Amino acid sequence: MSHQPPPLMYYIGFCPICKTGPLGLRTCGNCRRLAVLCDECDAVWSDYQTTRPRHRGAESLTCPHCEAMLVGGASHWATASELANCDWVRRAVTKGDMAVREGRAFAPEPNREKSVGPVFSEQNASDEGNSSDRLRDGDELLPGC
Amino acid sequence: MSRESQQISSLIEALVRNLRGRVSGVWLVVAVVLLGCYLVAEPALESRFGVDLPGVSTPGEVIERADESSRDPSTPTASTTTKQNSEGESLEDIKQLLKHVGNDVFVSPAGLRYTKGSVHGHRLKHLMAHTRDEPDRPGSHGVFDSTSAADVIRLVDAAYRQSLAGNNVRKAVEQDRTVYEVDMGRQIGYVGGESGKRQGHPAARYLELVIEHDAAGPRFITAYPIRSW
Repeated sequence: MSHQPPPLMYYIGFCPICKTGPLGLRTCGNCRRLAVLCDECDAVWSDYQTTRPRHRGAESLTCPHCEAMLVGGASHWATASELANCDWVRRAVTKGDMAVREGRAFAPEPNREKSVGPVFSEQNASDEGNSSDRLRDGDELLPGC
Repeated sequence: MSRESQQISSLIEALVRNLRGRVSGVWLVVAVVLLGCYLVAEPALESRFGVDLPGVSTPGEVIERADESSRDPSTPTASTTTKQNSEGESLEDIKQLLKHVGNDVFVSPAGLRYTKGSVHGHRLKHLMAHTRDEPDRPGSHGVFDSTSAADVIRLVDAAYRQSLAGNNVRKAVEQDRTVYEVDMGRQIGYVGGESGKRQGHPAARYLELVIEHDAAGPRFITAYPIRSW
């Protein structure tokens, strides 16, 4: 049975809780800030430091920054330009604390950009990954993203 | 008339029956109009604002919607064919298996609650998304051998009961979550996704089950076959 291809998603590794789900970078439709969301078990963190306890809102799948829902509405997997404009993403990638890779998300959900590659140099699609992925210089940063 | 329209009509009829004789005709009409407007607008409101509103779904419909979201647009839809899945299973079987306790919450015989949630929209949809491979998904993606929703729900229940009994299970607790890895003693699926594809889709006989505990009891988060623990 064929079906629509899943949307593209930037991910930074795999979930420390379920050990399986890719940790996707998710844009909150309300505050527009980025969070880390497990594509399998829906665990949420405010940034890449996933050794910290996950965010627990009043409901599941809420934004750790503003408590709006990370599903439905205008929430979506982050695009290349949103990553480039996000302060913590840019700093973590530049310092080598986090590698960002591109993959297919689990759920059928439209994304806003067909390609997310150009923001990065030397895309590494391997599961192991490394810190060679880099954001390009010159993009404006959104404070507090 | 669609099933959704029939359910809305039934609800309005029930409202009229209950309020007739208790309130004036004008207020009865107002109540009926308001209820009708809400039920019609509920899906659009949920989609627009990303909120969880009470609705009139059944487990069969939840899974049906999951099937439709993954179906090739050129193939017939469930609404134009007999409402059976690829194994000839009637959606009535699923309705009888799960107890609807309101607001799109369904409880399995073992007591697991399936609620709205996940990027799929509902945990039942998420579970059923593990009945087919996602070959381009990063890492591994567990795929159940069975495509029958009732069979998969029963398998998850069996794993949950086995976990509670402590038989051939490994358990990890993280805050309000418990992750069980259960040896089911037989092949239940295979490993798909990018990793599974590279490894030739190895067989899986373990089931990983993630449960979240809250005041209402155990809530199903996800479950899928894994190769080993």
